[in-house]
Amino acid sequence: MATSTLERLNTPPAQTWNYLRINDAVLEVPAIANDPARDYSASVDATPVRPDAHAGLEMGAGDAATAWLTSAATSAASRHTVRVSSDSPQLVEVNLSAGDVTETNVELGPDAEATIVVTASASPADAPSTTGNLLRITAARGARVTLAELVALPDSHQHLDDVGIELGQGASIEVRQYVLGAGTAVLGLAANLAGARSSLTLATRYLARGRERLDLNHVVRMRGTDTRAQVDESGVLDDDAEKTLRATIDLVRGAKGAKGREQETVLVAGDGVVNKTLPVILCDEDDVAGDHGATIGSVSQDQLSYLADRGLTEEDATELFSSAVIDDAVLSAPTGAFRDAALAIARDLLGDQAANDLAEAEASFEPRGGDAR
Amino acid sequence: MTDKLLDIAGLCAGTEDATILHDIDLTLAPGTTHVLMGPNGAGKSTLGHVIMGDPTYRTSAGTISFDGADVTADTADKRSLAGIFLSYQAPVEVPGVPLYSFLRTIAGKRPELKMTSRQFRARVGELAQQLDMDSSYLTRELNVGFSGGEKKKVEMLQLLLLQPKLAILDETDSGLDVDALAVVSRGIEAYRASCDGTLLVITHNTRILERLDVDRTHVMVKGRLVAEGGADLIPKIDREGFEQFEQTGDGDR
Ligand SMILES: Nc1ncnc2c1ncn2[C@@H]1O[C@H](COP(=O)(O)OP(=O)(O)OP(=O)(O)O)[C@@H](O)[C@H]1O
Ligand SMILES: [Mg+2]
Repeated sequence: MATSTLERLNTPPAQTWNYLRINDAVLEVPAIANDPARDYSASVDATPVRPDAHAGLEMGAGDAATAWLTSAATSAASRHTVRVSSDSPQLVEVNLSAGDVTETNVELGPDAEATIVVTASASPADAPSTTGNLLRITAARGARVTLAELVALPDSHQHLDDVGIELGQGASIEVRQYVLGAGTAVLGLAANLAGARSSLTLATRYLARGRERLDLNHVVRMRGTDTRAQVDESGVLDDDAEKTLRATIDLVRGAKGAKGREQETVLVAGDGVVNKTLPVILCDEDDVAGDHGATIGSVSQDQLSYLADRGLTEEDATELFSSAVIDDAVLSAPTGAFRDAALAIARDLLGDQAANDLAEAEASFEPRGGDAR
Repeated sequence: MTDKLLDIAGLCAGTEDATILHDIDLTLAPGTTHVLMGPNGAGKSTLGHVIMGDPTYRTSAGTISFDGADVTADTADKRSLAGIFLSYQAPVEVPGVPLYSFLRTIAGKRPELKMTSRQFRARVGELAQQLDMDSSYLTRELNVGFSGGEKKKVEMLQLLLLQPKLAILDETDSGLDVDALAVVSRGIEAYRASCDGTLLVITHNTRILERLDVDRTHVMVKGRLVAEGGADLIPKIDREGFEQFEQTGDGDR
């Protein structure tokens, strides 16, 4: 198969000294020929994308990613615009199987509500592939969005995720991302908190092992007054896994009263792990608060003591933190496809017994924040 | 079986820099209920953590025996599996770990609690209900974003699930509204009834004790146990405060 190389993916707004080798990511992807379009079934009524309707929206993974995803998601069936108005909350479900690439635009009108769920999964029997998700979200005044994303791929597959978000006055978005598996996963998310009092919470949870490579770029532009952003990345790196995280909170001039906080927690469990982080707070305004915190290397002493007092050794605690990433994805699954994809990883890594127990627990205890099903 | 479940003799402990607990002698017989009172900063929580084996503190003299074995050198996880439980005054938040997964793991470490996953789900569901907690809490991250009262309930849930031989409850009642206090008091009662557990209750508030038959009351001042009595000591402290003991506290230094 012909391939092409996407360069300068996931570049952060502020570049750093190159010797850190942290400035961007590179991904080899299938070259786009004029293949017959893939079939992709969407669960919502949708109309095709208007060309160039979103030219001004900053995307997290960068131009090369956006261009490739746009040209790969060729068929009408893989490109959607969903418009949501305040009178009917929408569930937008994007289910990606091996090799699927989609482009989805969700436009929320004033006070509209939407839950967007993106699940990428494949079977180890599928030929190696790249799944891709290009997602643009624009939320007008007072709109509320929940975005849940799951990357649960065998390590013969890779995933490219490119998200751009724009929030109007008082609009809010809650994002939960789980990356449980993929040979290489590149996820970029950019959010423009343009409206006053708009808010973002972003929680990324990952588990990377073997020779898996995870590259994350989070860019939060705080432009409106009194905007709020809480960004929290946490995960477990085992074996020879490699993770790069760039997290930028940009407190733009004029964003009076804005508060942005980013917090990273990494548990390094393997000897061959490579863990790189570039946290940046850009600040061009006095009346703001920006904060970055990091706990890297192990579980905090307070947590270890608490867990020890309940009978867990440090080794037990590390094991719990790893399996908990998978448990958490299953227990908080907003859709059946999401749950099944997370359970496939559970089966693979934790065994059939544990996966069955989890499935039962998920069924018995209502997940947090209600269920989109 | 021994008549001393917990036997502390000549215990001195503290941080690297300072001794907090001085020459503590304390014996708890199985199935008894003890109350530990004392002014803020007396060292009550420290004693709880030292009994539990918290590595933050260093034991410089004395011994702690539990259930007939010297556990002075044992790590906290070993003491926990042996049957000591400390309910935290300020429970720790553990992001990324669902409460359900945590409970399944700590129960799984104890052979005496062997149950099928179906039994386990039924058990924790039942306990959540008993503690007036919605079962959706089980899918949430351990203590993250829980209110003070909810965190205390999670401690009680673990107490009832694990049924330890000794439960040290460090201000489990503080910060609870009247309804939550009633729920927690009933929980403590249920723990006593279900496994004839031994209790060391650290509190500033006598309400939590109303439902309990207190066998002994201990008073700690400035890191020393300065007085001991029956249940009748509690109303006396309630009326007169700790001043009556403070002299003794300074005296035998
Ligand atoms: N880890 C520590 N490092 C330094 N000092 C400590 C530490 N733990 C406890 N102390 C000190 O030891 C003393 C006893 O504290 P402790 O928390 O045990 O009191 P307490 O009796 O539980 O008080 P309260 O009723 O307010 O909960 C205090 O002066 C406290 O500051
Ligand atoms: Mg205390």
